[in-house]
Formats: sequence, C-alpha cells, structure tokens
Amino acid sequence: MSKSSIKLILILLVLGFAVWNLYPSYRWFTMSKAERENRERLSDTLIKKALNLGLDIKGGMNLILELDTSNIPDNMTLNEAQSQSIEIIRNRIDQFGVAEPVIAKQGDQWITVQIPGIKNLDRAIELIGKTALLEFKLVDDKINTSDYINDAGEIETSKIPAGIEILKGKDRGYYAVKKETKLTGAMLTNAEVKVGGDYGAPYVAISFNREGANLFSAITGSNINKQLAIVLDGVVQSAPSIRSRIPDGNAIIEGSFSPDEAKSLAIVLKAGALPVPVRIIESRVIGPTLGEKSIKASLYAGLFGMFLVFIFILIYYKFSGIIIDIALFLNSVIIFGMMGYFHATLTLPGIAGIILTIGMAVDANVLISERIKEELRLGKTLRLAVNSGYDKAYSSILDSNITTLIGAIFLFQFGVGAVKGFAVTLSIGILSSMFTSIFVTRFIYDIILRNSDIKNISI
Amino acid sequence: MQNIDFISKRKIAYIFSGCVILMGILSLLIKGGPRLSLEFTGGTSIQLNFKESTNFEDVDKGLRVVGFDAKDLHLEKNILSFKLKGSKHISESKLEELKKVLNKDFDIEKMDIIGASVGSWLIKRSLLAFFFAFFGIIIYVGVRFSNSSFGIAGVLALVHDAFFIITFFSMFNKEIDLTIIAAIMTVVGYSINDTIVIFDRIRENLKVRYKENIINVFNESINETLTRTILTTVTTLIPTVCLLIFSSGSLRNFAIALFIGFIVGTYSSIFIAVPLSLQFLHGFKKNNLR
Repeated sequence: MSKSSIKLILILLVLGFAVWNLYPSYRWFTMSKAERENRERLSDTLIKKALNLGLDIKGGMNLILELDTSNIPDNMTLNEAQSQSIEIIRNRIDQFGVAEPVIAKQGDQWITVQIPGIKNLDRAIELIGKTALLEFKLVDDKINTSDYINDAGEIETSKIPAGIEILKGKDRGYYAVKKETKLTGAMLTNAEVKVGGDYGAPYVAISFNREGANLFSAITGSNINKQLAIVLDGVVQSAPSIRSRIPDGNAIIEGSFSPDEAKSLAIVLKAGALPVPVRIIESRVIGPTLGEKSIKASLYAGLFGMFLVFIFILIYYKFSGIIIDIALFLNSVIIFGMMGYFHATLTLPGIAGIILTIGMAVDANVLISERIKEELRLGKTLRLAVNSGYDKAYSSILDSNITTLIGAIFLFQFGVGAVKGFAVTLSIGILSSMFTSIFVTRFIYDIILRNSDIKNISI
Repeated sequence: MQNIDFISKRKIAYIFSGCVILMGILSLLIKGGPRLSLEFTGGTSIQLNFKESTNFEDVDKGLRVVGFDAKDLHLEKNILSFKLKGSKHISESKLEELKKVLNKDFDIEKMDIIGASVGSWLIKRSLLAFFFAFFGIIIYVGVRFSNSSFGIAGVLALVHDAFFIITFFSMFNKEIDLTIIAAIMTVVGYSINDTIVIFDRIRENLKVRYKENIINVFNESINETLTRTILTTVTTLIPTVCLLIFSSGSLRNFAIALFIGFIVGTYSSIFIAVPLSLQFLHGFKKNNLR
C-alpha cells in the first residue's frame, strides 16, 4: 500500500469515527420537542450518546450541598461520607425519575447536583436535601414537656433529665422521648405509599429486614401500651401507642402527609439516609427560555461567523482557500464528533473554547499558506515551496498549539466547573485542528501536486 | 515587504499600557475591587419573565407585600430582575403568592441563591489554575526556546491582557461572572498562541542572522509575521463580532470581553511580549537598545 493511501485511510477512519459519534446528536436535536420529552421519560439510550447541553443552555437546576462535617460518623472519612451521599442522592433522583442528572464531588465537603428542567423545584430540594434519618424512640409519658419550654417557645436543653430529649412534633407540640434509639431506617427493605386509614389520608408503609423485624418485634412486645415515636430528621412524625407485639416487621408512618410528601418520604426512606446531614448552600435555576436565547444567539453567531470566515479565506487564498475551508469544515465535524464520543457537556464557556480553536485552526492554515507564499516569492517551484512551507510552519504551529494545550491541561487539572469545561473543549479542539490543518491539508496538496502538470495554483 | 520599526515604539506602548493598568488599579481601588457576580460573592438574584406587560410601581409594591426586600429592581421588556440579601431557599409557593398578589403570570427566567463560601473557593481554585497554567507555559517555552526570557515575557503579556479586560469591566461597572472568566481564558489562549508564532520566527531568524543587530532581527520577525497576525486577528474577530450582534445579556458581556481581549492580545504580542523578551534577553544595557 502506498503512503498516500495509508494517509487516506487514516483520514477516513477519523472522519468516520467523528460522524458515527455525531449521528446520535443529529438525530436527537432534529427530533420534535415532544418526541424528546417522551424519550427522556423512557430513558432512551440515545440520550446517553447525544451531545449533552449544559444547564446554562438547556435550563435546569444546579444545587451545591455542603456536608455537615461536625457530624461525620466515627467509622467514616469525609471522603467516604461524600461518596456515599452521592450514591444515595443518585438513588433518590433516579427513583424520582429525572433524565440525566449530574451528581459530583466538588471540593472536599461539597456535592453538586444538576437536574435538567425546572418543574417541581421544591420537591426536588426536599428530595435531595433531606438527611432522611429515620429513628424509633420510646416516648416518656411521665415528663410534662411544657416544663422545659420557655416563654419564647425555645427548648431549654440544660434542664432536661439525663437520657431524655425533647423533640418537636411534625404537626403540633413537643414530645419527650428517650435518647436511646431503638431502631433506625437502616434496616428497611421497602417503603411505599399507601392510602387508607379513617380519612383516606396517604401514609407510608415500611418493612424491615429480618434483623430489623426481630428487633421491632422485641421492642413492641416489651413496651405494650407505651408510645413509640417515629422520628425523621429529628422531628416526630407520629407517636402511635403500641397495642400488641408486631412480629412481621411491618409498620406504618402516619403524619397528615400530602400525596406528594408521602411519595417523597417513601423515596428517601427506600434510598436510605445520608451518612451526614447536608445543607443546600447554593441553588441556581435557569429557565428554559433564557437558555434557548443564549443557544440561539451562539448558534447563529457560530454559523454566520463560520460562513464569513469561509468566504474571507476563499477570497484571500482563492484556490488554496478551498483546501483550507475543507480542513476547517472537517475540523468542526471532528470537534463535535469527539465531544459526542466523550458525551461532553456543551456549555457557554465550552462554545468559547470552540471559537478559539477554530480561530487557531485558521491560524495554522494561514501560517502554512503565508510560508508557501514566501517560498514562492523566493522563486521555488510550487512543489518545493509547499514542502518547505510546511516544514518551516511546523515548528511555530506545534509550539503555539502545544503551549496552549499545556495551559489547557493545567486549567483542567486545577480548575473547576466552567474552567474545566472550557479546558476540555479547548484540548479536543487543539488536537483536532492540528490534525486537520497539518495532516489533512498536506494530504490534499500532495494529491493535487502528484499531477505534475500543475505548476501553479492560486494562493 | 513592509518594514515598520515596532521595537522603537515600545516606550509608547509601555506608557499606554502603564496608563491603562494604572487606571485599572485606580478604578479597582475606588470601587473596592472588581464587581464580582453573585457566583463569587453569594446572595440571591431573581429574574422573572412576565407573560403580559406590567409596570414598575405595581411590581415594587407586590414584592413588598409578599415580604421580599428587593434591591436593584429592574424591569425591561417584561423581564423583572431583582436581588435579595442572604442565600435562603425561596419556595415556589412564595412565587405563586407573588403571582396572586400581582394578578399576573410569569416564568422563572433565572434564580440564583448562592452561599458565599463556594464563591471564595471558586476564586481560589481559578487563580490557582491560572497560576499553574502560566507556570507550565513558562517551563515549556523555556525548554523549547532554550531561554527563560521568552516564556516570562509571554506570560507577562498574558497577565497584561487579562488585566485589561478586568480594567474595562471595572471602569464600565460591568459584572465579572464565570462566563467572563471563560472569556479571559480564551483571550489568554489566543494571545499566547499569537506571541509564540512571533517568538518562533525570532528563534528561526536568530539562528542564521546571529551576527546582525538583534533589534533588526526582532523587528523583521514581527514584520514577516505581520500579514499572518492581521489575517488571524480578522478571522478570529469575525465570529466574535457576530456573537456581539446576536447576543444579549450576559452573553453580550462575554462577547465584549472576547472582542477587547483579542485586540489587546494581538497588540500585546507585538508591543509588549516581543520588546520585553528582547530586554530580558539582552539585559537592560541601555546603549544596546535604541
């Protein structure tokens, strides 16, 4: 096989790979909005293959949660608590049914959660921010809670007898409960919403695993006629009286829930409690219209700008301009194809990165063409001029691109969020533009110049 | 081929850049630092998109009725924006209440509720990222050019470019948000690319013309790459100007930052980076430099 056919195969392979990875995005974004929403609900695999738009473009909610570092369990490091919290939050969101949430560590005590779309903001926050620590504690009915509440309605912790704590009730009043936790939600196997009871109110039915069921049976058996408080995140949901031993490990949580509330509670209980309480320290909501405006603006600017650049190059470099324009077009296909392959998220800073790389791709071609012109002015033949033009332009293209690439790599390594996204598109763009502007254009020149009749081309 | 004596004009450039930097420092001092967006400072900012026309007084009153202590109230083309102190969660029911009080329907365009701690961490990490990126560039350029002068001069020009953008935003009271940081990164990337191309030409010319007057070699290198510099600047500015025309809001600020940055980046490559590298390379012996 000749050298140029190997080159051709390589170019076709890269291009084929790019188009292959671009195709899902093409299908996805040419679909109607209703069709896309429908597929999102069904969690179609196409979503995972298409280019991901950042929240700043498609709209959605971005939360940052802070772990309460003072409450980390002894058997766990901060890092483990962070990872486990992420798993649990992911579980909860999956059960809630949201397409493509992004849940990731940020810093060492934060977690970012990105949810596309902005329906049910309050519920999402409730679902994500709740610790969901479920505890069963015995009520001490000998204590009159009002003795420990001052006039301002605050609990006076200093006076409370040892082993007792006063907790707020969900609906009303306070409960005095034994500090000792009899059983926690960690032993749950299932939680689901049921409707019934005297008034048809929704409640959450829970079932314990074998160990939990045995414990629950023992607790209920030895405390008949006492009240058992069901405590969620430090608030007593209800405190039913134990009428008989419950051997089968099934219990219900009542507490005048709305249907939505009951559903959220069932989800968080099933997904499990967070190892540490979290606090939402940042929430950003971007409406779909704002994102639409910015993507339209950048799309039009990008397309129109590219078109003008193509025309400009064509006018300035004439025939060689066609070669450059082909390379630039392939460059864009490869950049977007690679971004599809990495399932990268396209954000506004990312678009900036792409504009820069297209500028740099043009620059590489300009460098080469200007060099060729210089060599031609020295009186060299076309073939020689092309050869030495490329040879001399190599070092400046390589050095300028690699210098920028090094900057990008450091930005990726140390940057966060937008800085990282920018670095990714910039790096992809630099590699792709070096490939197209050095390798592809050279190949085209070689093919043209193989025909020895051509002594002159416009450049 | 044109032959402009760029190096001799370096003092004018130094004075010009010095003045801008001084203005920037003054502006920053007077205004107590750059006007950072909520992302960095924390707080609450809300933008609502009304579905029908509405007037300022009603909205102002309505906000107070539902208990929002709104500041920086703006109403433009049915888009209401305001800021609140603190970073407490705002429930949807509160916004529903506002709809009822105003008797008008709206969509949330944007709602940012941000605690201050993330912002300061973000600033620290971004500065660290820039610092290491610059450091990496100095090392790489130092190795490739077998001399540290070029890398240091190049990076100084980058800092210069970034500061120009910050100065512009400070003087015109524009907010610096994460997209502006992205624009600064883009400009830095563009500028170093531009600078290295000229440096490369200098390196190439110095190899064969080491006996000639070094100032001439530097000057001619700039001139030889000038066509390319202009072409590249034009082709980079074309999409930027398109973005300027099509965009609005924070995207427009982004385009403005890019536009200024690309021009400053080109200027600094020729008038700051190259003369500085010459001075570093040659020491500060006065009689050698005109």
